[in-house]
Amino acid sequence: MVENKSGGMLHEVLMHIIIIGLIFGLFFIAIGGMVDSRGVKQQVLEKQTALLVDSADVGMTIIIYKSNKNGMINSLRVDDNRIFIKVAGLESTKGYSYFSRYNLDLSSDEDSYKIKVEKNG
Amino acid sequence: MDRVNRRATGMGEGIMTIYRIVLISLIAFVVLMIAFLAYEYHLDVKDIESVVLATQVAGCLAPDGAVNLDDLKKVFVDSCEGNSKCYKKDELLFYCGFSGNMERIYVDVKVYGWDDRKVLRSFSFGDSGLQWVKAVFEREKRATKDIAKFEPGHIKIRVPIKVISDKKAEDGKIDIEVIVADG
Repeated sequence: MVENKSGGMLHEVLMHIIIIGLIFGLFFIAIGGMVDSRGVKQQVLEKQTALLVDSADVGMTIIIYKSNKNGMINSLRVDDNRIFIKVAGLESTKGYSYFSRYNLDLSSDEDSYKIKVEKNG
Repeated sequence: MDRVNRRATGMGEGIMTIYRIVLISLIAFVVLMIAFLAYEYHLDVKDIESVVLATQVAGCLAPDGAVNLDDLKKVFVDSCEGNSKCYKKDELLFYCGFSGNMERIYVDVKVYGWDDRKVLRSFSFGDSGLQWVKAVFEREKRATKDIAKFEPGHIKIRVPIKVISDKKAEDGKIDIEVIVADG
């Protein structure tokens, strides 16, 4: 009888440790995503690029290197007057909007993305 | 009796376990939210955007340092019927060639001649309600510091220009106000 009670208690304690471990594990994974500041780097890149596009004139080309001090740029796209940059695996869902009188032509090569500012029409 | 007791004890322990899981999850969630607020950082570039746009609007309306009101009168009309290249006076940015998502921008332009009190011509673009929003943030600075990241960017510039009206040129000024909201 005493052995049954001890076995039952051990089982209960183990269950609690496993459940608490799982919850805190999920919690630390979520925190880890925030602490490495990928979100901030993504914000910096998107807003810098948007400002460059805002102030660019016809004929200018903006070059953004993939190996950047703000992190490795996985992808850069321009869609619906917004700049989306994927940095260090962090997908961009919101992007940042720009305003421009001109058309943008986006191309890429091995090392960089190029945004060429062209006249409309 | 013994079996009923054991079942009841098991159920009680199960309920206690669920209660503990919920409590621990709640505590973890609260700490997560606090950490999220601590690590969140908002980079505000709206003021810079206002400056860039104001400069471009000035360059659009006064490309050689002169605003030709005679030409603008033909383009900015009340009704665009039968006229393909015309704009309403609240479509200034479309006249300047901007397109796309411009809902977060408000631009107000006033052209003066030698007399500062008389507006010769005015143009605008966007929702003038942004002026009201900006005014609220200006007036209630202490109350709004917690939501400062939502304060619109703002610039108001006065550029000395030549104004050409009725084929006569005179010294004048152009006031450009740009407000850029969160995007």
